[in-house]
Amino acid sequence: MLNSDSKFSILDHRSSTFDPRPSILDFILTVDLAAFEEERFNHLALQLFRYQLQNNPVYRKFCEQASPPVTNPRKWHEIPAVTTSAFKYVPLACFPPEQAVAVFHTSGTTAQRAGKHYFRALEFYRAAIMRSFRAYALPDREKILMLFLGPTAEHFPHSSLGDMFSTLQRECGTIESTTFFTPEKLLLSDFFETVANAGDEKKPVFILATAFNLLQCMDELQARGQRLPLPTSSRILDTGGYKGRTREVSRAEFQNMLGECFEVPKKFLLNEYSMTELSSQLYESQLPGAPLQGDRPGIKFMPPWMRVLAVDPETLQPLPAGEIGLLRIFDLANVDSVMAIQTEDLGRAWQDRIELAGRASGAELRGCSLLTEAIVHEGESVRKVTPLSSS
Amino acid sequence: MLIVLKDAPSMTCYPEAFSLQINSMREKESLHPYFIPAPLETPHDLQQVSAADLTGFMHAFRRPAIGYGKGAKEWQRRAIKAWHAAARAWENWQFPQAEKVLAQLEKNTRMSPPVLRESIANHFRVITAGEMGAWLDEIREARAGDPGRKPYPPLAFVIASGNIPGAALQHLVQLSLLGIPALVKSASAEPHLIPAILVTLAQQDAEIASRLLALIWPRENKEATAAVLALQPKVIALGDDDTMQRLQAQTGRALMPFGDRFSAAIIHAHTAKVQTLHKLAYDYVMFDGKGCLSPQVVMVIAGHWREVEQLAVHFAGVLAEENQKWPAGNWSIAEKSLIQQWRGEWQARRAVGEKITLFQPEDTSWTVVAAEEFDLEQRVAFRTVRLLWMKSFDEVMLVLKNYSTKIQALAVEIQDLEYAQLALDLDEQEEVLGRLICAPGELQRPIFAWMAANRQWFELTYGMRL
Repeated sequence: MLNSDSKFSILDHRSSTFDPRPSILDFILTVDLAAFEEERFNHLALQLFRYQLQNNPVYRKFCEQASPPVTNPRKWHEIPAVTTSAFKYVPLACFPPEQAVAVFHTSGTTAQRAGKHYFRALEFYRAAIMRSFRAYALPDREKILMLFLGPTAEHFPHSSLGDMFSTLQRECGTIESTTFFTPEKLLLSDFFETVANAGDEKKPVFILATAFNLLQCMDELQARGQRLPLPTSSRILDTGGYKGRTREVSRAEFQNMLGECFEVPKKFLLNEYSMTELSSQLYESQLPGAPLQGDRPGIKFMPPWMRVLAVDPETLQPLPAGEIGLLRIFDLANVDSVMAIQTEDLGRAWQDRIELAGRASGAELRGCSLLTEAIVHEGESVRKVTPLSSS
Repeated sequence: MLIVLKDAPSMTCYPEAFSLQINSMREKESLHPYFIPAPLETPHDLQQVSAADLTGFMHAFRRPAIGYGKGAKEWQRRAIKAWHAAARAWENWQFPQAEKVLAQLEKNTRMSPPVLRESIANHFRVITAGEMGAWLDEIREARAGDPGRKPYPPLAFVIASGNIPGAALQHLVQLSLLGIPALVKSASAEPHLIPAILVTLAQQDAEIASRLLALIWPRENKEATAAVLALQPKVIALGDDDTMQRLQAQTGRALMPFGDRFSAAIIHAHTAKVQTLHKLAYDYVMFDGKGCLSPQVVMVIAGHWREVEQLAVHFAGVLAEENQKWPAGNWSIAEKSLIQQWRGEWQARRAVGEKITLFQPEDTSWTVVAAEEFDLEQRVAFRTVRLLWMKSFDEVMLVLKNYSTKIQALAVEIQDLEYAQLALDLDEQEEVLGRLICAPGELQRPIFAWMAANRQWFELTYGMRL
C-alpha cells in the first residue's frame, strides 16, 4: 500500500512553483464518483493546503495565528477551517482579489454583511458542478427541457446558484430551456403555460428551483385549484431550504406537496446542498444510475473530492462518524480560496454522505432561498423560509 | 396551565379550570380572576380559547385605574406592602415551589441555576418599600397642580419577551402600584416566571394581585391578540425590533415599544482596577450577557494599543474567574455556533493585520476580544466581551452619538469632568430618555425609578404630558 506521508514528503519541497491544481482538476474530471480513496484525497488535500498556505496570505496568517499554529498537518482533517462568517470580512483568495473573474456573494438580510467568494477561474467550479449533476440528476439523458424557478447568471451575476443554473442550462438544457425568475418577479403564469405545453407534447421537463419559489408556485396552484402534472421522466430539483420562519414545512411534507402538485414520483424529486463559500455540491437523489444510493430519505452524497466532518459546537473538535454536530466541509474544488470551511449547518457526516439536521436556529438567515424570498416579497404574500442550504 | 382563583387553596390543572372560569364568567357576567399563571410542568397555550371568550374575560378584567383617585392611598399602602414582601421572598428564593420554578427556568432559558438565581434576585433587590414609596411620592408631587394631567388607562397590555426572564417585572410593579389593570402576555419560550411571581404576590394580598393577569397564547393566535387590542389598552411591548414593527402595524399610537437596545461600559485603561474588571465581568455574566442591560462592549480609553491588550489579558483572567462563580448556561447548538462564527470573524480579521487580540477557553463559555474598532453593533451576547480601543474621551463621545437610539445604559468609571460632559451631551439628545448611567457592577440592578426616564413610560406612569 502506498504510504501517503512518505509520498508526500517527496512531493512537498515547498517550491514556490509547485501547483497541485492540475492534479485536482484531473481528479475531479476522472475520479469514479463511487470511489472514496482516502489516501488520494489526503494527498491532494495536503498539497492544496500547502498551496493555499503559500499563496493565500490571509489564510497563511490565519493558520500561523491559530492556537496552536497549524502549518504542517499530516491528515486532511487537521487542516484549519475558516468560518463562513470570515468571508464577510476578509478576502480569502490565492490571488489578488481584483483579478477575480467572478465574485459570488452570500445573500442575507439588509442588515447583514455579505460574504464574498473570489474565483480566479471557473473551471474547477464548473467541472465540479457538471460531474456531480450529470451523475446524480441527469444520469439517463444528455439534454432535457430545463425550467428555472431560481436565479440565473444573467439576472444575478453575483449568485453562485445563478452561475450553476446557467451552466446547467448551457450544458444540459435543450434550446427551449428558460428561466421564470428575474430580480423583479417570479413569472408563474408563464411557467404554468410552458409546463402545460410540455405536457401536451409529452416532453419531460426538469424544474430547478429554490425551495422558497417552489412553495410560492405550489401556493399559487392551490389558490387556482389546479395541479400541474409533469410528463413521464420529468424531475424537480430544489435547493436553498424550506424551513419556515413563520411557518415550517418539513422535508417530507414538502416532498408530498411536490408529488401532489406535479404528480412526480418521489425518485424524481432531488435536492441539492451547497453554499456560496464552496465550489462543489451534494445531492439527494434516488434516480436509477446515480453513483451512490441512500437507504433512507434525507441522505446527501458528496463527490470524492469532498469530505465532511461533524464537529462539536462547543470545542470544534471532530466527532465520530454519524454523530450530530456542526458541519465542516473540505472541498478540493475550492482551489483558489480556502478548502476547509466551518459552516453553521447541523448534521451527521460519514465518509461519502451527510444528513442535514437543519441550520443552527440562531444563525443568520442566509442563502438563495432568502434571496428569492426578498424578491417574491415585493407585492406578494410571503411564506418566509429559512434555508437549510444555499448556493 | 394553572389557574389560581381567589379562594383556591392550591393550583388546579389549567384547561379545566379555565373553562370553569369562562363558564362562571358567562353565568355571572363578572368574575374575579386574579391571574392565570402558566404551568410549571406542561405549558399549554390558549389556542382553544375563542376570541369571544377572551373578550368577555377582558371586559370583566378591564376597569378604571386607581392612580391618585379615590382609595389611592390605601391601595398604594397595600400594594407597597405586598410587593415588598413578595420581592423579599424572591430576592432570597424563599417561596413555595422556588426550586421547581428554578428548574423550569433553567430548562427554558438554558441559563445555569446560580446565574438565574442571582439575575432574577437583582430584579427584586430594587423593589423595596422605600423605593416604591419614594417613586409614588415623586409622581404625586409632580402631578399636584399640573394642568397636563391625564387619566390613567383602564387597561395595560404588556407583551413580555422570552430571552430575559422577568424583564417586564418593573413595568408590572409600577402599573400595579398605580392600580392600572395589566394583562401580561408572557413569551411562549418562557411563560413561567411572571405567573409564579403573581402567585407570590397573591399570597401577600389577593386584592392587589386581582389587577394583574398573566396569559400566554401563540403569536399565530391573531384573534386572541385582536380581542385584547379591541379593548384599546395601552400596549407595552418588549422584544426585538421586528416584533416592535409588527406590533406597531397592529396597535399604532397605543404601542409603547421597548425594542432592541444594548448597554456599554466606558473605562480608562490606566486607572482600571481589578475590582472594576470583576464588576464589569459580573454585569457581563448576568443573564449570560443577554438583554438590554447587559454590556455588549467596553470602550477602553488608552493612549496606546498595548494598554488595551494588557487590559484584555486581565479581563480574560477575571472573566474566567467569574465564570467559575457564575457558570455559563447549557447553551444550544445554535448559540454555540453563533459564538464560533463570531470568533471566526475576529480570527480572520486578525489575519489581515487588524489590531485584534482574542482570548478564549477551550469551550464557548466566554470570549474576550480587544480591537481597534468603532462599530458597537456586532453583538452576540453569551459572554462575548469586546474591548474597543478609544484614543480619547472625545472619541468615545463621537462613537456614542452614532448609537444614541440604541444604547440603554452605560456603566462608567471615568473622571468627574468626563462624567459631566457625558451627562450633558447625552441630555441634549432626544433619546437620552430611557438611558441609565451607573457604575460598573450596577447595570443589572438599576434604581426602581429609572424607567421614568423613558418619555412614554413617564407619561404613562406620571399621568402627565412631557
